[in-house]
Amino acid sequence: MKGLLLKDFYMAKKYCRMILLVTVVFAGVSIAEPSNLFFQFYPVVMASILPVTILGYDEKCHWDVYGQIFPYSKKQFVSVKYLMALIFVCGMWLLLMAVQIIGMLVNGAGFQSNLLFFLLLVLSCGFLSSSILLPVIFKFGTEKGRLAFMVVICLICGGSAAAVSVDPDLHMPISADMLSLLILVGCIVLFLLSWQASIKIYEKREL
Amino acid sequence: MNAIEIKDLTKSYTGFTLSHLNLTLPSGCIMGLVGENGAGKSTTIKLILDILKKDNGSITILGKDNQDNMKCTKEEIGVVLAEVGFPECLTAIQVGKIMKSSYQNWDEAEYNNLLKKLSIPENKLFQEYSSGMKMKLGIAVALSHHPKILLLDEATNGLDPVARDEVIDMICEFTRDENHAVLMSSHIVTDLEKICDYIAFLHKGKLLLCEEKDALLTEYGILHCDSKRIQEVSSSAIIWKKETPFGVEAVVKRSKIPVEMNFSPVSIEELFVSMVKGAK
Repeated sequence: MKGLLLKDFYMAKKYCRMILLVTVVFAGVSIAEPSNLFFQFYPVVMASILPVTILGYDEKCHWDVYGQIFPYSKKQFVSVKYLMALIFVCGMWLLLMAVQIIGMLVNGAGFQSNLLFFLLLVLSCGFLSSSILLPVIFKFGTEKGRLAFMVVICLICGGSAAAVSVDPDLHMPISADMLSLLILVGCIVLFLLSWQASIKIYEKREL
Repeated sequence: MNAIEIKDLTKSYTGFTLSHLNLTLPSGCIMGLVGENGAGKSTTIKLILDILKKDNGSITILGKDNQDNMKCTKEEIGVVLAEVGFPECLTAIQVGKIMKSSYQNWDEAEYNNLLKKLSIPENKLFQEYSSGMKMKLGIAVALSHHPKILLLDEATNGLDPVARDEVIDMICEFTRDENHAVLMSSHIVTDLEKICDYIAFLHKGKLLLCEEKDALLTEYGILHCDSKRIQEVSSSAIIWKKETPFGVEAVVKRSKIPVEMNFSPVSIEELFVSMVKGAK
């Protein structure tokens, strides 16, 4: 699978340069605008859809069929995209976390109590979008998968708005940090289930 | 050992059926797959590689069923499809690095040698290649991991005559090893006639024939005579005939024709065209 991973990195380097640049700028802006959640969620969500962008280019150059002549199983073709999603999401999340900590130091603000809550929620969003998008793309291709992309964006926006509107005085049986941790665990489980589902879908798909 | 054995292979799409295909490619041989567009050549090659799922039948590659760990079997197969689909942003050097991480037997020196031999630019983007250049890169990749079988789907299409000749020489060189075998489809039947040991004709998903090329050329001939003389010939001997005011030209089975009749040799292309026309 190393060869497939290398191929995707070459493609990411070429095609996703602008997306990476935008996400880095957004991460930087989030220091100046710490209250605007968009700048925190967007880079991680964008990072999570980079494998989808690469899948689109794969289809365009017919690699989806041509790649089948090489010694890889369909399971590996699917797994490499999930691995890429994992690397991009976690990489971007770590970058975002570093930016937030630097931001706190620069702004002279102390450790914000809700930082962990938001960071875990942002990471959950990254896993959630990959989990929804990739099986749809593997089933229907990137063209039809755009609808799924819209659904993901609506879910993320709706979810973010809901998270912000939570009344801090609201009594919940668990703390907000614990809640975000549970959401993250749920999203990771969903990511693993999505990976298995994509393998089954792709193995049945006739190219 | 046979390199490839196909038994009773069937695959149906809407509007097309590859029907009960039986083919055997012995090791050390080159088999040419001849057919019009949509005859089932590419479908056959994709079924061999398990890119398409068969409906029925069996495919054995080097003694192993193609449903059994095909990932390992692909290490032994070099493939060039009609459309070489490397990502457009890659260079030949990057393709080499990817393949080095993909094939256990990847031979970097051989790959670099083939890039030079086929005049493939190393640092040019794949999107900037001509169609012939793309095909050459596909051929270089297919040959650089020391495969035992080559599957070539229209691999000489798009190549200029000099490059085509070079590739044909490389294929001949490849089969000098008696453990190697080649299955190649092409519209350019003259290429196949030059190098193939066996010829298979496919027409609308059915195998019209599969025989040794030399036997075919001995078995069939072109008969030129007048319309009276052709009446003496059994209809079972005539594959196809064309009557003009100047006489009759017929592709016939030589063994079924009176010995005193004169024939001219038939080319594989003429034989294929006459068989297809005869089948209509």
